[in-house]
Amino acid sequence: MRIKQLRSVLWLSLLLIALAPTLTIGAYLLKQISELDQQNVSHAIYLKTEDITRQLTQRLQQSAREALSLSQVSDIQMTPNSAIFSYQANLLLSELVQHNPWVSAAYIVNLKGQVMEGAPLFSQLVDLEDYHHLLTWDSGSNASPPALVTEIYNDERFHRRGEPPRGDNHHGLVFAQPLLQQSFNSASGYRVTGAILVFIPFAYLWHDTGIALEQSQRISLSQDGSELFASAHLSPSQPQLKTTITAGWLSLSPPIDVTLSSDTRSIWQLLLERRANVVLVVGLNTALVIALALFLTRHIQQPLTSLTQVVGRFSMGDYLYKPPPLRYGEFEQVSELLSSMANKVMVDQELLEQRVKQRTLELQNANSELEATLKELEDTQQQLVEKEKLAALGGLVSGVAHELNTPLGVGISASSQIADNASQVLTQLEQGQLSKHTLINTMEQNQQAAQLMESSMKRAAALVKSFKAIAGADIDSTQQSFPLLSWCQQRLEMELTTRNQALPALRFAGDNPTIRFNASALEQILHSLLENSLQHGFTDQVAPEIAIKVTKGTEEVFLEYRDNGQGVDEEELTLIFNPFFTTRRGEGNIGLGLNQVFNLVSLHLHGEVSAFQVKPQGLGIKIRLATEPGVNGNS
Amino acid sequence: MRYGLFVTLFASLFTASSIAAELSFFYYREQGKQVFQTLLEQFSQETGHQVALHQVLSSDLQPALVKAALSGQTVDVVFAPSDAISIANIIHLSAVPDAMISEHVPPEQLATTLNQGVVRGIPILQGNHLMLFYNKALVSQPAQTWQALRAQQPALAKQGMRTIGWPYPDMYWFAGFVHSFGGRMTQGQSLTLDSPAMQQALRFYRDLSDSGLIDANCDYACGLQALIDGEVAYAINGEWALAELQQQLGTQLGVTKIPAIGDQHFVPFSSSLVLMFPNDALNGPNGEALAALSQFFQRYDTQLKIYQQTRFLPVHQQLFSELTEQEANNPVLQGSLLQLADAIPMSAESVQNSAWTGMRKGFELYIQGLIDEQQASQFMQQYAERDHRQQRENTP
Repeated sequence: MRIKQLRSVLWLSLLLIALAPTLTIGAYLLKQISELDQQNVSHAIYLKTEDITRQLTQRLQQSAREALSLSQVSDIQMTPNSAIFSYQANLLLSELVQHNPWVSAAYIVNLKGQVMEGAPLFSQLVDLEDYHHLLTWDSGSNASPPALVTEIYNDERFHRRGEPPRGDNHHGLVFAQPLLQQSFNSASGYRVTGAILVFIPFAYLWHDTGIALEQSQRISLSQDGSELFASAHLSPSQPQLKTTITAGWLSLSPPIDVTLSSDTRSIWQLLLERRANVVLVVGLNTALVIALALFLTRHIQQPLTSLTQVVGRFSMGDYLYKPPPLRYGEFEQVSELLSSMANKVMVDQELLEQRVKQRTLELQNANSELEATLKELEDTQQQLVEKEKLAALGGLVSGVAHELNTPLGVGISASSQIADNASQVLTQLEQGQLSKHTLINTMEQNQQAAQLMESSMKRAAALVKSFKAIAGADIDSTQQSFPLLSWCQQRLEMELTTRNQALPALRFAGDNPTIRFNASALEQILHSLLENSLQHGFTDQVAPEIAIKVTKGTEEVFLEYRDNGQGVDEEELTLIFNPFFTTRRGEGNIGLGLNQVFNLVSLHLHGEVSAFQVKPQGLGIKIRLATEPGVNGNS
Repeated sequence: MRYGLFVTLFASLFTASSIAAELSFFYYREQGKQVFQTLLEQFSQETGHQVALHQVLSSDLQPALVKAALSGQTVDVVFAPSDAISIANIIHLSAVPDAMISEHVPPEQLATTLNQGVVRGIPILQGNHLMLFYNKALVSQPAQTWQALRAQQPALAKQGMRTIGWPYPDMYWFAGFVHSFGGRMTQGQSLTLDSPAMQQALRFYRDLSDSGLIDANCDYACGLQALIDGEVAYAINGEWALAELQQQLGTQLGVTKIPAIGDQHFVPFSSSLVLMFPNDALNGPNGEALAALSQFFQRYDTQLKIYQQTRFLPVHQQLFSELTEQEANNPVLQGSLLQLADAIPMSAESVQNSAWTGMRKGFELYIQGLIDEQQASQFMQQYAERDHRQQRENTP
């Protein structure tokens, strides 16, 4: 991961630079301390071993002294001979055990080794047959007091009942203090009557000495290299320091070796031991490094932050911002450069503004001209549109007037003739000059005139109906959904079946989307287009053909009607939708068919219609219909 | 204290006057010392013989006598329970001739002094038996069985007191339970500790403490001072304590038989309190003085004084009968005598001494839960037999 921030780089660099020598020097010092510590530990171990040995020795000596002291009490001395003294003897033995908590059991035995008294109570149940050999004194008179007999034993029975064995050490020390009866009647001599046996397990001897061993230390007692007791187990693979002191306890032979073992301490343990100091030193060092890092980063970071601020303000357009003074010339130099850049920007900006103003003014002027021109054009367009409308209206009115003029004129003439004839008849009748022949002639004339008037009126009515059809006023406005191509096919085929003339071939191609449209209007449109093709297009065509093609767009559908008739000239394509435009007026066409198509497409189909030339010949009509989104689609 | 006493004894022996006999008198009883002191002064006035009285505690008596005997020190006369005669061979008690025995001493009392068929002591007092004392203010109807006593425990506990007290670990008290189950510590010269009766007694006895009826750590004060102070409703104590209890409780003191165990009436020990003469003192230089002393203590008036001042029961048959009749309405005396009638005399044979030690050893191990009752009775028997054997071997 790349570090992109200067601050982070600075921090890391400072830390490395500060800590590297610290660690190196620290490691060296630790090594020195470790060696010194080893020496101290060795000495301390020696002193501790001495202390332990002294304490253990004191304990044993105390027990031996008390046993010796008891052995001189008459009740104790008499007990091997008679249980009369056993009550008092038991009290004394119990006191000995109480005063010497490391003593597991104390007994008074006779010379046969039979237990006369024992303390504590449970010890009286222990069979001491294995210890009879301790009673080695001569039962006869001894010139001098027989000595204490000491021995090492290994017997788990001497753990106090109810107490769990302390470890799995069962070794201990037993000594036999002879009970002597000095005869009062004889000048000298001691008679051994029995013994006090005292059992001291080493685990008890060690317990509660008040000497605390560290976790890494272990005290052990051994004799002739054979370990008798150990306060803890040590891992044999661990390096150790050892000190051994030989203790000649109670004339025990061979003597007991008291050994204190201690694990050597690793540097890590040393560190843990002196963690307070280590923490202090590391803490101080870290604090210094942090302070230095803070100082340096601040002195670098702050100017950079100020410069960033300056750039930021300038970038936001605040070129008048005055950067604060910065420490260090380098940063100040950059600041000055940025300020001069800002000044230049301001000057350039002003120049630019002036230019912009000028250009804007020029543009405004041009715009104003353009606006004026546009208005003029719009006015002209409006005028043209009005003129065209007026022209179209004029054309429509003149067309309507023209068409109506003839039948109306005929009608008027006919009605005038009838009126004249009627007047003539009346006059003759009044004069009495009316003949039958004249009446019949006049009535026949009137009948003819009436018939002529009727046909003219009918013709006028038909024209008016046609005019109405142009506007599409009679068209049903219901919208329905049909597949367009299929519907067109159906309608045209049906349309053709009603005609008796040569029918054109029908071709249908393209998409067949289902759309909603005014079926009545489209039906009328197709009818008008077909009429137009039949009457105008196919007059000289021997193989007339009509092609319908539907194309579906995104939001519209295109319906193309093509015939292979004679087509229309290019310049007349835009006129064919005008009312009363026809190229065959003399043949009775009034020129409203395609105008009706135009109106129906515009008003009822809400689309657009245009005409185009079909190659090699023919007329094409393209109708654009809008689709309703989500409703219509390809079938 | 025992060492101090021994030194005092030695000192007194060496500083005795040589005009008339100077006797050392070991008095073994905690009660009545002053009365005996007064009587000895009277004796001294009458005869000119000086008698130094030394009181010895019960546990120290036999060891002190044996030590004295073994060291050749002089103890002229010992006043102690008759079972102390069991160490007759060790301390060389004098055989007491018939002439020294008052005609008023009942044969059954004399029998308590027999050791291997020889009379080794002169009975002065009788009884020394246990009985049931109770506080009439707390107990309207004394329990006659241990079951009835248990039934009274809840009500007494509600009043904030314990039911009964006696020195629980003391074998003299435990022995009565053994007897009640039909057992005996000795039979003639034989030890009979290992018996079903002993085992039953051990179980019953431990159950008394396990059930909370008696505290297993109770000492002598439980059976005396606790009753006086109203801490217990009942106490089992001896005839020796009767005077003190009567003095302290007055008419509130009730005396009756110790509760029976089911249909088995309680059978305590009894013994006589005798004069005995270690180191064959009767045949020593102070023999005459000792004989006079013996006569003095067997006199009617002396025995009467003793009774009047200590309530100790005299062996003087006539006096005893008179007292029994005179104090027929004395419920305290009658209660004591009622219990005495069920007591059995302690043996003075040498096995008795070993029996006491053996029984104590086995009892301690059993009560601490180290052995069961069967092992305990066996231990008692083995220990006592071994001790008796040793004594015989070590006694010259």
